[in-house]
Amino acid sequence: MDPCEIEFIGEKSQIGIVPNFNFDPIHLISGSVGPFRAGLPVHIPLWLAVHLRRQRKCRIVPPQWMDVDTLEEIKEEEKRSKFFTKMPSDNYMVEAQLIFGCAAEDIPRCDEIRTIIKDIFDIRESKLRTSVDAFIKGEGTYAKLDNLTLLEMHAIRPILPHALDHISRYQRVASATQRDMSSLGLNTSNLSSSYHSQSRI
Amino acid sequence: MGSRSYFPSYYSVDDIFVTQEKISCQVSSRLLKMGFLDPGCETDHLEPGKIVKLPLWYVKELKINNPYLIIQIPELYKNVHNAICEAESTNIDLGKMNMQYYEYGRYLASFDRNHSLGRILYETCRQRVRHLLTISKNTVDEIKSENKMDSIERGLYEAGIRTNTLYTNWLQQKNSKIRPSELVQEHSKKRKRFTLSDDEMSSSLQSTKRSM
Repeated sequence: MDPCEIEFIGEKSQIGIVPNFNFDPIHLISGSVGPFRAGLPVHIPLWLAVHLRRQRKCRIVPPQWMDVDTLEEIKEEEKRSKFFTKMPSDNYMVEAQLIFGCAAEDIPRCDEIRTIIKDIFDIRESKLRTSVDAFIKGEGTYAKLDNLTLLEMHAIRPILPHALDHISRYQRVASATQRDMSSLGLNTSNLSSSYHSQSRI
Repeated sequence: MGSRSYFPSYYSVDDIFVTQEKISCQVSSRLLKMGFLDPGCETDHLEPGKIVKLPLWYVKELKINNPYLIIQIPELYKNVHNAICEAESTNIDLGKMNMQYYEYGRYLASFDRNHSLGRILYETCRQRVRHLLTISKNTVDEIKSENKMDSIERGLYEAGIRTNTLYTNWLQQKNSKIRPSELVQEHSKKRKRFTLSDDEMSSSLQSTKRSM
């Protein structure tokens, strides 16, 4: 999956806007949007919000989590925890990227928020990398990665499963040859024990 | 390597390449009328003690304790190299040793009388993959020719770099267009080819008719 496709999925999430025009509800396959009343906030899909914002027809209300204090808290939590913490949104990177791309002036302290979100992503990415490394090193059979978002999975997507496929193939070869050896070993020990019992008799 | 991971099968070209490799085998009993296998042999029969080179696709079907041939593990997987693999596997030049180091070794593992080959392949792969994950994460530019990998590792490395490039491009919003997926592109290419070949067929048919 490409980042573009992940962005496409992320664009389906709802976001609040304050329109500056009046319009009837728009009926789409995924559901109806609107009605739009000037000055009254309304929730619409992100792709439509970006589109309207580009035409200067609305102001974007940042999501609740897009706030310096909340994000700082999440970042601290992420640093403290050994596991991945739950993110406020499944597509936080995509949402941040799109909103900052078109409506940076609608968000208070936009630059700080941008830095914190990037920090959080980097922390999670390095955590993912160390846990993958530990997983391969420790001969584990399974790993549990909760609360991982799509974009983070994308970072390791074709390479890790493929690499694990290869590793498991050679592991099977190794264990097969090892089994041969252990069976041989068993045989010799059986022989020696029978020899012992005979000698005792 | 496309979106699927590599698995050897009857139809896989890589697997055919691997099984083309010649392996020296020592003849352990007199093989009648088999002298043609060894170009330097003057008699019709293969005498015990002779060494012939046979392709892997034949050898791999043999049992380890077959009465005719003793399979000799190539130098590549012998002690000296194995010692290096155990010590520092990320530094060795697998590509120079054999482009299909892992797959070749995988077939030979069952013929290894020390029973260490399988284990060494597995350990080497594990260590090198960890290294590979790190380096593919940190390079965005084109693949350099001198990196020391075998074909399987190269495939993984390319996949890793591709992911990384896509991600950085997305962050910098370099390509905002969504292109059709590889599967769809392949399909449309195939369809074009088919229609082309149909046209050629019909035109050639017409010309033959005319000549008749």
